[in-house]
Amino acid sequence: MLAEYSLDVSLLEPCEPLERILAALPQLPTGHYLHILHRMEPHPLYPILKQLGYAWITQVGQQVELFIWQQDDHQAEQSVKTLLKI
Amino acid sequence: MNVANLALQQTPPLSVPLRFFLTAPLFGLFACSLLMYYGPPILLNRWNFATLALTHSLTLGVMTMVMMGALLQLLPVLAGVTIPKPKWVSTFLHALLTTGTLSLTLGFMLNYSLYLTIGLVLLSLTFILFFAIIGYCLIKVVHSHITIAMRLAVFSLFICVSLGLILLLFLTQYTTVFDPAIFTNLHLIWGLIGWAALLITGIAYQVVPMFQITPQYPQLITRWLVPALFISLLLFTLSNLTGYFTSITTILLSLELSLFALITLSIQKRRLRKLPDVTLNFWRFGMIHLLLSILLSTLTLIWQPLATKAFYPTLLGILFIGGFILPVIQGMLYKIVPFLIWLHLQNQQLNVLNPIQLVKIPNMKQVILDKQARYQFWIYVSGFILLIAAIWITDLLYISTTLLIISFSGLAYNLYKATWIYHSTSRQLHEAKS
Repeated sequence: MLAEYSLDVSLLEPCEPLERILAALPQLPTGHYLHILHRMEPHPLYPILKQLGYAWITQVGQQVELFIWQQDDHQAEQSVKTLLKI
Repeated sequence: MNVANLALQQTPPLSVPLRFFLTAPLFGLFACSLLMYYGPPILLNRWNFATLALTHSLTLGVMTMVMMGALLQLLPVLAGVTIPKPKWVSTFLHALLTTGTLSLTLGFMLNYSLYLTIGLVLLSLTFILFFAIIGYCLIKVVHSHITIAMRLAVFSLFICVSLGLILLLFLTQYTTVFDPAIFTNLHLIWGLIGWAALLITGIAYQVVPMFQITPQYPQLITRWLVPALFISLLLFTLSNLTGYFTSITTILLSLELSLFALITLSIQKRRLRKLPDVTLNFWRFGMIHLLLSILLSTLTLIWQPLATKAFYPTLLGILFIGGFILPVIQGMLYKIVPFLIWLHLQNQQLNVLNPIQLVKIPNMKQVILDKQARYQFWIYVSGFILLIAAIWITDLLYISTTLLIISFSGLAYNLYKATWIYHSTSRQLHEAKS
């Protein structure tokens, strides 16, 4: 089973991306991570993620990709690291 | 886009930019009351003192008011530099600019040198403080195309203000040693193109793709257009002072400004999410009127008698200030104010235990309703079109001014209501915390 939940917010204007991401996070089951496609790096999101106990990796290329998982969810973390070959 | 520089955590307190944004529509109403009070003669002669009161209440009271507030907000966010004691700085700047603009316009209205002198002193203090603080910050900022635009725009404002203060010295009869006509033309060119258009161009690079979901501006444009405009302004100044190559420098400026307008319209046409957006309407309206004002001024190169027609300076001024600068500013306010309110509430939410569940933060579209902003836009458009018609059919001035009064009241209502939403949600957040 794929451990990835996807969310494309790249065509949404501020502040919709952050709202959609915050709405999606509580539905993330253990062992799963949220993969987000964004047009820009979501700086206001980071302190919120930190406070809520999530970890993340951001990859900035043509599009910005974000991988978010619960901080203590090692299985999800491993899935992300395997995917990104870290 | 240079989003890596978006240091949102460094955003200053909301009151820092908001006091400027909330004051601007009041000066818009003040300008409308001048139109109503003086009637059609105000549109007949650019040297009329009532006309000077009108233009300065718009360029200082609305345009500079918003742009100063925006710079105080954007410098820390886009350029990552902290303004020292931002609340104090904004309080002083706002009070000085407001009282200075009122004194100056009263001085023009009453042709009374005491008020002009008070205006001269207060505005001198405003700009000395502004240049000291913003200059200090702009020296420290990270080098990017936006900060280059900010630097050149602020330097242009410095030239505009210096020329304006010299002209005020002339009016208050402290000096009579120069030809005020040339200085006046340069004063308004540095103010309207140097200060306003350069800053709008630089900020557009960031806000148009971000808020209107358009492709980015081409890199060649973001890198070179603003410096090229600034150099053209210097050449334009030299050519006007010496009397040589004025046509060439006018064409150069026209081409560069047209390029900005056409590229903005082009990326807006190719926007990735084609949903109705009132900000887009304001910006498109602004870009089309920038092109029309360029076309009008370029026509004088082909048909010189046009420049001597009584309606020419009035029409050009209405097209550029009322058709380009004011709509773009209103469009920006409708994005920046809801975004800042949302951002500050979001930051406050962070201080509460569970940011997701406690208090529902209104999103940007709930802070200012699109429908209300759209009504305000169309009323402004109607008032603007009738104002142009009033140059020839003078009786239309009163209907036009009534519509503009309704429009500025609508803008004020939307912005003050947004502020009220901020305060009530903020109160709920604090109650939830306690």
